[in-house]
Amino acid sequence: MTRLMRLALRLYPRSWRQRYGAELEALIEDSQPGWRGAIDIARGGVAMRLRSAPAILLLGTLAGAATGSALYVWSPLVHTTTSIVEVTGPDLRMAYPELLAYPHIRGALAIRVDGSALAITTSAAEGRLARTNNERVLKEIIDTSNQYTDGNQPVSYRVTSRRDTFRKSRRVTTIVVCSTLGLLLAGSTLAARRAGPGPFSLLSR
Amino acid sequence: MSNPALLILASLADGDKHGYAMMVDIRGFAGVDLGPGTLYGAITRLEERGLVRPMASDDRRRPYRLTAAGRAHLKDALAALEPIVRVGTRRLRRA
Repeated sequence: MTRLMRLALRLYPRSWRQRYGAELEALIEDSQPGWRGAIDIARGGVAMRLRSAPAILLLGTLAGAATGSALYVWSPLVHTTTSIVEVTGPDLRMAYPELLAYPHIRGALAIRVDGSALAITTSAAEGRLARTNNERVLKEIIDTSNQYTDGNQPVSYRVTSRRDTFRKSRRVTTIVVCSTLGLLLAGSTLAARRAGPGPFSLLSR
Repeated sequence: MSNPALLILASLADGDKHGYAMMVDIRGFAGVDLGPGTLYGAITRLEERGLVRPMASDDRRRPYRLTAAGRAHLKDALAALEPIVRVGTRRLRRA
């Protein structure tokens, strides 16, 4: 018996192996199944484990899956705005340290000071307020930059590469992925309790 | 037909067999290759339901026998399949 088969056999619950393990080993030695046989054995082991899973695990998984799905449906989309703001003025190098003090600018993706030009890649992601925040970032840049000019030559700015995206937050997505896996596990457990391999039996046809 | 439990009951209907003998027999009469995991998963459930029972054996290759309940179950299952086979065959002839 190959190492792969032995590993697959380990997937069965101990109590099952004590009763049927020797018989299954003999069958494997007689039939010499290939990799498909190893998959079949592993699948059987998982089904047997699910079959003997306690009811509290099943209920907990179902409850978790339901909560995760509800959370996904009700959670708002996160609106993220990303843009590059190019500010041009007489000399903006002095403004740079002060600009960094602003929370939104400090969290900017990239800041480049090149002589009298300042390019800031901003990103704001605060749900429905994202658009407003991005405009606030812009205002902060302009106001601060103007403080460092002589007033006769106000700074000019140009917004480029603006990109707006709407998506569910990563946290919610993670919860939903876990819940979906949980739901699959619960479904398999239910099926295994009722009839055996359950959804996996499709593979043996 | 790919119901492993029904295939095992049909295999045991003509006498006791151990796992490998069932596998070979089923391949012969149904053309289905049951994997070791599928076969023993079905045997476990059939034994729990009292439809088959293990026979005493000194060897690891333990034979199984169809119980009276298993025989009745097989008979009912085949009777339920019979009209499907009959009607399906007749309709195929017409088509």
